[in-house]
Amino acid sequence: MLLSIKNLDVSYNTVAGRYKVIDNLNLDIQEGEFISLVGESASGKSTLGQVISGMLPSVGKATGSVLLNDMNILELSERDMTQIRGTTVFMIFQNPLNSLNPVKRIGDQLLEALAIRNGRNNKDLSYEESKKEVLDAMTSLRLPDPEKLMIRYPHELSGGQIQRVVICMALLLKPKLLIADEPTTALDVTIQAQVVRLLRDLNKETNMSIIFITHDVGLAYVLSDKMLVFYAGRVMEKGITVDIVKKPMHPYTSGLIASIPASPKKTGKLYSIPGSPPSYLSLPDGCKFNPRCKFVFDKCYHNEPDYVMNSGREIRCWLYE
Amino acid sequence: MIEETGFGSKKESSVPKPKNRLIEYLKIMIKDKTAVIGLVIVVGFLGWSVIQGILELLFGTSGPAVALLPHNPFNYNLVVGLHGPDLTYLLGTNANGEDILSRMLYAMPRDAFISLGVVLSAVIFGGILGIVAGYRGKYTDEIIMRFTDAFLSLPALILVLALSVLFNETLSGVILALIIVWWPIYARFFRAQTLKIKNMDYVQASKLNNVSFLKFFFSYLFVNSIDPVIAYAALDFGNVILTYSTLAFLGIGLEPPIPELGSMAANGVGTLPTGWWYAVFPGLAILIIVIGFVLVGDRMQDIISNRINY
Amino acid sequence: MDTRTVSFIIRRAIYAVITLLILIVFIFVLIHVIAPNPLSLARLYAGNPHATLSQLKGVVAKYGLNLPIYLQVLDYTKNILTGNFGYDPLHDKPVITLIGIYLPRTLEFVLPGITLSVIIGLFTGAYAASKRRKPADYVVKGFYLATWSMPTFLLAAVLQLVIAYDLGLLPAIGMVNPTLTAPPDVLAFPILNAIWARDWVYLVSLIHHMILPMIAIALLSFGLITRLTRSTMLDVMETDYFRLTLMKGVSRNKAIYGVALRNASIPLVTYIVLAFAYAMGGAVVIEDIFSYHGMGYYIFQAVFNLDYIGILGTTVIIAIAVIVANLVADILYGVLDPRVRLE
Repeated sequence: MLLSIKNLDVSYNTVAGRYKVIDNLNLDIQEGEFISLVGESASGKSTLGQVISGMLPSVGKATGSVLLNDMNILELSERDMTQIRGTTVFMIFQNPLNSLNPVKRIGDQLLEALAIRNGRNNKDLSYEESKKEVLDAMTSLRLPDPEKLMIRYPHELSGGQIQRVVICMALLLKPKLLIADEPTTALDVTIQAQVVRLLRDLNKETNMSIIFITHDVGLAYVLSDKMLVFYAGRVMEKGITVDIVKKPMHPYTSGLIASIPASPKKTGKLYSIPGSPPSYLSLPDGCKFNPRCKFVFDKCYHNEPDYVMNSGREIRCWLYE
Repeated sequence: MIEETGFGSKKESSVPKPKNRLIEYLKIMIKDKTAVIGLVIVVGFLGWSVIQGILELLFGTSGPAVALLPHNPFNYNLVVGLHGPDLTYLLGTNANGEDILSRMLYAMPRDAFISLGVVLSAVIFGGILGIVAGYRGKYTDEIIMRFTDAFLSLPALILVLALSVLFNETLSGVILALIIVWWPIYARFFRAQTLKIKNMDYVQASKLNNVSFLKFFFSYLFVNSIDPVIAYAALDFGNVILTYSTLAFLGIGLEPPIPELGSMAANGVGTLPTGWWYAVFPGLAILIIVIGFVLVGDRMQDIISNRINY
Repeated sequence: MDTRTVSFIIRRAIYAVITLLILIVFIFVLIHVIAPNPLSLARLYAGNPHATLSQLKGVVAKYGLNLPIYLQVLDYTKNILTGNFGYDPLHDKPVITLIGIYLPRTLEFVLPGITLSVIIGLFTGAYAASKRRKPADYVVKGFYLATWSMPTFLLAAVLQLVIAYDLGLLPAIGMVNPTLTAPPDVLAFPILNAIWARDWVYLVSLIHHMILPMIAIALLSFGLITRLTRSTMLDVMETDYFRLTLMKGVSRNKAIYGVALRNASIPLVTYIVLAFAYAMGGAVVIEDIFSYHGMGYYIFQAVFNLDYIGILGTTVIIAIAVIVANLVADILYGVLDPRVRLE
């Protein structure tokens, strides 16, 4: 098992108080799996990405166990964590425009990534060989005019190109696990399609496990094998993507899927889940979704449901206990 | 832009903020120990300045005005002469036998009031110009901005010196000079804020409502730009006091026999190395006061730009 | 140099000139508000508060004070650009000559002081940022809080008291040992003059006397630079590209002192200019306390004696110095940061 998370709780300490962002999360990922984390903003999905890559800010505290390649991330020293980043786990950020060092040329940044990987594998390549490998990677990602691109600065590139450069870094680093935190949100639709295709190819051809964080159920459906549905820091439904989307069981999941605008010809109201996500400082008692749930009943207001297995999925809802 | 910070979604507010945020800020500020120290210093200084200041305004240099002080600052005693700190004269005496602590306490309200006056005037004047620049844009903006650039690029002290001399080194001249040097930074602040909120929904909406320009100006643009300005102004009080006391040190803007912290230090320096207390203590007092303002202002800036967590 | 950079430089230079002109015009307008007619103007220029009417009339004629204002402004501007800052009645020399004597002396301790404060400030700021919220950070913060809030005269006085008077390590006042004779003035800067003439005794004395003022300047500006560096570093450390650098597997130290510092030091050039402007103001007080006869001393004398011409001349020269420094900083900024050139 590449990644094994058990009983993960994450909370933040702020001036406004201490509050929990992730509650009792369990997740197993094998090599080559493509997982999506789906949910609205501030539902905890990005935080999970930060925890796995060891980038949780110092005001955050995580308890539980996060085993990546049998090493508990939560207990690693900074030096050991540095060794893991890049070649074992790598992350792509949401907004590409600020993802690259503005004062360094693209080529230098890519070469740096390659050098790190070679350094860890004790491989020593000459500059010419390294440059060739970088150019090959850039070409395989269909970046235009790689030779010229290498001497450019990040501010001369478009968002889509930068995102592809970052994916190129992933290609060069060859991490076992890639975390993509809403990589397409800031891009327009045609570029989105390209980036999405690149990620899928990366997964299929190099057997890289990918955690795809998004609020777009449609993208998750197209890309991932398994899906986790987040709400208020809890995983409400977890299972095989196709099953979940075709036949959602948790009321929140159904709501999400129903909110996707269907065929453009259909007239009628656009559905959206009534209400809005809660603030972590004032979560309701019982099941966190109860203020907005269509199927809510008395028990939902008092007790928070636990995980149960139902039809091959994990689900957190009193309807299924 | 919606950020995931775990606070729940934090949206760029499209609605004017509630009015009781001053209390909110105070509550948050109290949690930080250094800010509390700063607050104590500032409140102590301002409180004393108000009380003593009113007494001085009403009674000048006699009677009740000196009643609160350990000694009468104007009683000179040439027999005692330059005397170090001891139990009677807590911070020592100067060459005329006048008690330094009393002189310092007598001098403080002036710094406070002058600083207050300068900052307020600079905020108002800078605010008007800054908002006009930001709102009008194009040529008005360019001209006002070139002006602020010109002022901001010069060392404040040098410009204030030059202007003070031009105004014949009177106290009012000094105050005017300070205001002239101080307004540009506030113009910049207000302009930046105006540019930010100029296109926001509620501003556009008020235009649709045919709100009168003056009302619009104050209740929307000014009030909603005020937050970062207040935080900076808190810091700035200290800066004005520093500049003003340095001017006093150089002998400008004095009204003898009224003591001035800066000029006391100047006299003290003249008698170095003996009588070090006369040179050091006034400066030390200023140091502590300015630290107070910096701590408070700094914290306020952090709070307003939402950068705090622990 | 590509055309983008050249046009950038030209644009910045034009801005600088406009700013300077605005300043000159403003000062002129101010002077004329205070002294609305030629006679009161003459009183300013005469340098003698008790001048008689005929003397004043002479001054009016000499300086053309009864010409229309715009002509006077143009005249003045033309004079400035050709190096004519007027004649200082107090010292009985042209202002420009006096500046030529006093300014180098000040620069001799201000420039090293600023260099010192920038180097130390940069690394201290980076160190504080990397040790954020740990004790080391608070110590650094406390230190720059103290130096920032301290009035210049306190700082200089304490330095003089402790190091010169109490510990006797360095001389307390003066620019040089007064019993020594100065070497011939070849290169305007006393230190360079001494080196040129190989007068080592004089050189050592100069350096001895320069150290305390230099330390005072360094401490004065150090706080500003440390604080700015620290906050810029913190901003950089929150960016996506910094996080991505860490994600690549670069060690934290290398990321901080390599990537973060490199990005945070771009505005550094601006900081140096800020520090320089600030230091020029501080020099007035420092030179007073250390009886160091440089530019600050000249300014102080002019203020004390109501020497308007001197004040005007020194203010304008300092304004020019700062505006030129800003221009250089802007240009350097454009060279260091490729993004700026597009603006």
